[in-house]
Amino acid sequence: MGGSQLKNLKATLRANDLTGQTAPKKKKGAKRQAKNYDHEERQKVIAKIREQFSPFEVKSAKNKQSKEKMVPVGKPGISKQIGEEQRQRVFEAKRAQKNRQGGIIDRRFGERSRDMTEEEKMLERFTREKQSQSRSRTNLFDLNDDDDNDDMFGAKLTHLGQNLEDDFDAGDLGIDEEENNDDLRPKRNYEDSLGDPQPESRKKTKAEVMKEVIAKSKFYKQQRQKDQEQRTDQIEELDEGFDDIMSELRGSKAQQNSREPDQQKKDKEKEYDMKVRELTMDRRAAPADRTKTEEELKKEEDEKRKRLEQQRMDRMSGTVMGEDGEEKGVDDLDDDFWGSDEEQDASGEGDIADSDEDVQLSSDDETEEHQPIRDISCPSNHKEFMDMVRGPLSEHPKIVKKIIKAYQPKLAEGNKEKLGEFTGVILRHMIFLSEQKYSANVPEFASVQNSLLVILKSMSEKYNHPLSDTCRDILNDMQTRFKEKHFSGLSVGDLTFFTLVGCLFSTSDQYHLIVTPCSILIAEFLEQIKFNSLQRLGFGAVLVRISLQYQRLAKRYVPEVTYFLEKSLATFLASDSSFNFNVDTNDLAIPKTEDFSKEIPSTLRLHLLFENDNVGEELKAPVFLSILDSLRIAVTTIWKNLPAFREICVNTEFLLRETIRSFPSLKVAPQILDTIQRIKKFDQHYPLSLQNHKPLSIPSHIPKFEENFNPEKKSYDPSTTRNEINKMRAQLKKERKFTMKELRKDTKFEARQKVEENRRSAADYHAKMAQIVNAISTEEGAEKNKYEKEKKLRTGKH
Amino acid sequence: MLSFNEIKSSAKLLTASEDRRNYNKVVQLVNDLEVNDETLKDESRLRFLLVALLQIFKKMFSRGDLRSKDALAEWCRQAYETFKSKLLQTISGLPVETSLGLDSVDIYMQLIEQESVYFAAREEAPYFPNKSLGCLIQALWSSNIRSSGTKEAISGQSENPLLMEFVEKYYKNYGDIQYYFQSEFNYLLEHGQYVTEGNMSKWLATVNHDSSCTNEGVDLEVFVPNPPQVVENESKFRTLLEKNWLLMVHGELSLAQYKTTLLILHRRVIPHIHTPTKFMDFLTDAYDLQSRDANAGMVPVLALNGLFELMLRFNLEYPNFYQKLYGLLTANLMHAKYRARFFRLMDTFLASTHISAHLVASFIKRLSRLTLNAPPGAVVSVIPFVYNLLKKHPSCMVMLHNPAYITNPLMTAEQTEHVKSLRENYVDPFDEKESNPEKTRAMESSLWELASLTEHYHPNVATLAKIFSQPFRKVNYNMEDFLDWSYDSLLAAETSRRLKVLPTLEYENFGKLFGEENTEGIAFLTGVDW
Repeated sequence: MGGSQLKNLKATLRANDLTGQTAPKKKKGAKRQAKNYDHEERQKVIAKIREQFSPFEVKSAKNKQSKEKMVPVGKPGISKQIGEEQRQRVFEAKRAQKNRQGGIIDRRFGERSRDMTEEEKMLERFTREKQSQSRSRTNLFDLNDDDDNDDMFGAKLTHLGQNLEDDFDAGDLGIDEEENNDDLRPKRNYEDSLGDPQPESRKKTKAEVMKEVIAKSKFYKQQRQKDQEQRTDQIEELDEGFDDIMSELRGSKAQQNSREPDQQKKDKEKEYDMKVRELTMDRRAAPADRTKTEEELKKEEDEKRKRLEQQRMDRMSGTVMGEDGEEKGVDDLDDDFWGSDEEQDASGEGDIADSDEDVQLSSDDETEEHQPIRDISCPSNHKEFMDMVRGPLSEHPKIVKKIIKAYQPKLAEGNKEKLGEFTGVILRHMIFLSEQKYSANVPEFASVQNSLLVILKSMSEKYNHPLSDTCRDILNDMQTRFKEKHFSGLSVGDLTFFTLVGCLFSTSDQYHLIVTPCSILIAEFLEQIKFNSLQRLGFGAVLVRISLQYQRLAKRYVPEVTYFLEKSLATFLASDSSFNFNVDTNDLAIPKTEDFSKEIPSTLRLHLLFENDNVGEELKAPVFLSILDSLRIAVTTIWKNLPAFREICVNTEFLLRETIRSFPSLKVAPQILDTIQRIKKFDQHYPLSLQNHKPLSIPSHIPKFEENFNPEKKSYDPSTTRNEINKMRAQLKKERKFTMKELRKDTKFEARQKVEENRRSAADYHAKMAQIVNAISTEEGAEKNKYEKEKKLRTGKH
Repeated sequence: MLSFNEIKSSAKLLTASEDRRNYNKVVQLVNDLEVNDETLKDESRLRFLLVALLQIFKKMFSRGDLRSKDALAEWCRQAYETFKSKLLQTISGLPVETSLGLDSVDIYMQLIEQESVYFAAREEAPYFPNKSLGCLIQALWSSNIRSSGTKEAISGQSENPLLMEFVEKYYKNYGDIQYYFQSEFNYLLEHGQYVTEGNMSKWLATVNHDSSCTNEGVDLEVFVPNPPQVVENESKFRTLLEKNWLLMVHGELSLAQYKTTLLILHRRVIPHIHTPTKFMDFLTDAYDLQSRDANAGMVPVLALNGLFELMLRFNLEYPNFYQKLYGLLTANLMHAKYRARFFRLMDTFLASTHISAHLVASFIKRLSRLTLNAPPGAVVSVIPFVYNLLKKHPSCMVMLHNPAYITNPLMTAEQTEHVKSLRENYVDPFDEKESNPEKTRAMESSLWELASLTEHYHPNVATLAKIFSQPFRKVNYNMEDFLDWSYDSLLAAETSRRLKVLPTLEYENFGKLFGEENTEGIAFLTGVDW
């Protein structure tokens, strides 16, 4: 087609008989066709032409099968229009609802609850309906019921579709109503039943309906008249009896008497109200925790231990490290193991509520309960505490208990912090005590220390944080002391501290904030102290014991322990130059004459070792035996699990043989040697294969060729689940994009609307102002004219 | 004893006028210069006397009184010599550190300067009073002032304040003094018993610095106005220095001196001498110290380092170097302070890829054996070191991974049986007493020691040890990151950690700290009691 758009349009219109002379060839006699049909057809044709002439109205895609044909796929203009309209509607609705409250609340049963299936909802609704119906029916048949406008009959008795009871009941109705006119329901029922037509058998004719209406109006009129009469009767009656009533009222003395019981009644009521209120305020009774049987308690304990052991194992293998631990422990938050963490976190906000978490000490000190405990202050450092415990040693645990009791966190704010500090003080005090001279009364001292330990242990569960801080301080202090003064900076108190740490903290963890530095320090001492006196060797022997005890569960290897054991044994053996052990002194060898056949305790007694600087020769044997015992423990618990067992034992075996040669009377050495031999026999010792990894494939760089390539197919992934996931993901992406687009359109529309509104209101305002100004100016003009006229008139007069 | 005022008036008389009648006063003054405990009490007087005499003699030099050949000059020279010998006596005899000694050295050096001008054969002729310098050296060497510093014991280097003054002020700054010092010292060494420990310390103090005249970039001035030409002869200086060094080094040395000498050997000695290989004897000597002295410590290591340098740079033939190095790997090494240094050196010694795999295997095996009772710091340096060695010598990987001993489920019963019997009959052939690293059969052994370290008590060490069971993907480890760990640094890392998660508590209840188990409850530590 050539020519301009307009020409084309005109031509097309003409071709379709839409312009020019319509139906020029129409014959006069031809029957006129249905106009309606004509009109529709015409509209269709016009729409088609319109489409044809506005190419952007239709979005089309090329049809690849048949050439040059375009397939329409959408009408962007129209769909946009529709969208716009929809938005407009929503916007209108929203605006209408704006700044307004209320609306319809759906009170249907179960409409909102999500956890009911459709069926359940229906069932429930049905039963409810039935119940409500049956309730009304019981009323119906209740003989005692005063309500006797018998709907039952009214609903039944009909004749020719008309209610019979209309006439029948009419007579009684008035009286009935008089008796219970406050009851509105029956009346309504009655009316309903009246208005409610019977199930229609046939349609009433107009005449019948009219008749009915007339009858009804007549009946009502009659009734109203009756009512009127009755009322006037009653009023008259009352009027007649009025004087009697008045005289009775005046004569009675009830007024005076009535006040007394009234008062009483009020009091009673008050009391009652109070009771009720109290009762409502009262917490509802809940079943108390059942007292558990012994077996149950035992089982619970076992389970708890099992769980704790599992957690410990996790920590040992390092699978739960640091913060992850809390994640793992989420489901056991209520048990105090992890709970203690939570408490610490929340310690900032008043802790009075959780007062039942106070440390429960085994209180065998009921006797001193009545003593005033107010005047005890909570010491915040060890010096203050020392001022408080001037008395005999055995009193110390009691004083500590008293302080703890006096400063339970529930008693006052800030007590928790104070007790936290006090926990550190107890720890320091135990260390301090162990540094004192106590050889005079060892059993008493031991019992004091042990009871303090029990207290500290129970405190540690609640005051972990301050206790850990104190431990770290002590560790730092110990390190600096050792750096400055070497062995002379250390004391038996440090041994006590390491032991306490082992008691309080879990030593098997792969990493532990307190235990790991302790282990490092112990190792440092074992490696760096010059073991040139018996006292130092004793110190080392105890350190080795502690280190072995730390590793009793994790069974980790401490090279320094091996180093010390070898060195100390070499020190004790005769100073043969044959061995290449680097000993710090040659003066400590045990004479070969020493007889080990008699019973010598291998227990190291701290006060004998550390009370004086000069340690007697008689302690050589116990220290030696203790070291041998440690060696036995190390061999049987830790070394035997290591792949390098033989290599570790090389030196030890040599030393043990030397020992046996020097001291044939010693029984321990051959035993250990025997153990080592036995372990060796069962230990399979063959070369390692640590690099036995799964072989890695060599990456290939040949392009992947797909057989049976299909452009329709989106993915060649053989895994169906992955395919599904990808599909879902794509869908999600698409949806998301669409929703985003819609949202954007919405906001744009709203913004447009707002602008429109603003403009309209501005226009309104301007129009209003213009009107006002106009009005004023016309008025002014009129006035002016008037004035001018007047003036003219006046001047004209002159 | 002359009083302060008397000295002042005599000095004024002598310097102000040329009147020879006053010259007798010089003798009087010189004789008055008597340094002993009593006179030292009035130090300022002595100092004033010294300065006055210097002024007088300077005046006399400038008047030419000491140069002419007449009787007066003779007399004057005698007085001058007396003054000089008195000065030297002061220098050598002072028992405690005073500023008087320092002044004496300064004055003596000024006199040397005067002498070089006025004692020359004729005016403007080059001359250096080397005999006077020799006397000063003798005096300095016999000075015996005990210094309180502890540095001397550590470095084996003298801290004699007089010597320090001489070195700092004159030796370091003037080329002619360096030359004549060396030549005079050489003369002294050849003619006297100067090679003792004390003298070595003074020798070290003199030469242990970077401002030798043969140093590159050091441009020294001359002290005297007109020194002889020979001062410029560098080659001669080198010969003298070398002679002196060798003489000194073959004398008696303390351990600290060995160490200091070895430390400065390739920076401050070898560049300044002609034939460094002459030090080989000294180095071998130093290396052999380990067999003589248990506390030798770092010295053999340093000696080996020196030998290595000589081998590298001067093609020294030295047999059994690696065997000697292997011999240095002892248990003590792991506990010694110089461990890091040793590892650095060993890193260079073993850097070659041309050394035999058997040798490397022996080193690896010995090192890993030593970790079994080593502190964590040492373990931490051994692990990456072994890793790097294994990376460089993949044939040693068989020590970590021996495929002959692996069973897998696909094997036939026969094969399984074979592996089983292999395993049962295996005996570790490693001979730890063998001193030749080529013959230890370490290659047939395996590194169980390193596998055991995965159970180390320190979590980081244990984790580090796990690298041997992981694929060897890393090219190598930078040794510097691992060498300087000690207990202190490990603890510092711990204490700087913040308390984020509360430490976990022991859930087991111990009724007692120490003691045996009984009814009172479980004791934490048995075998120990209060």
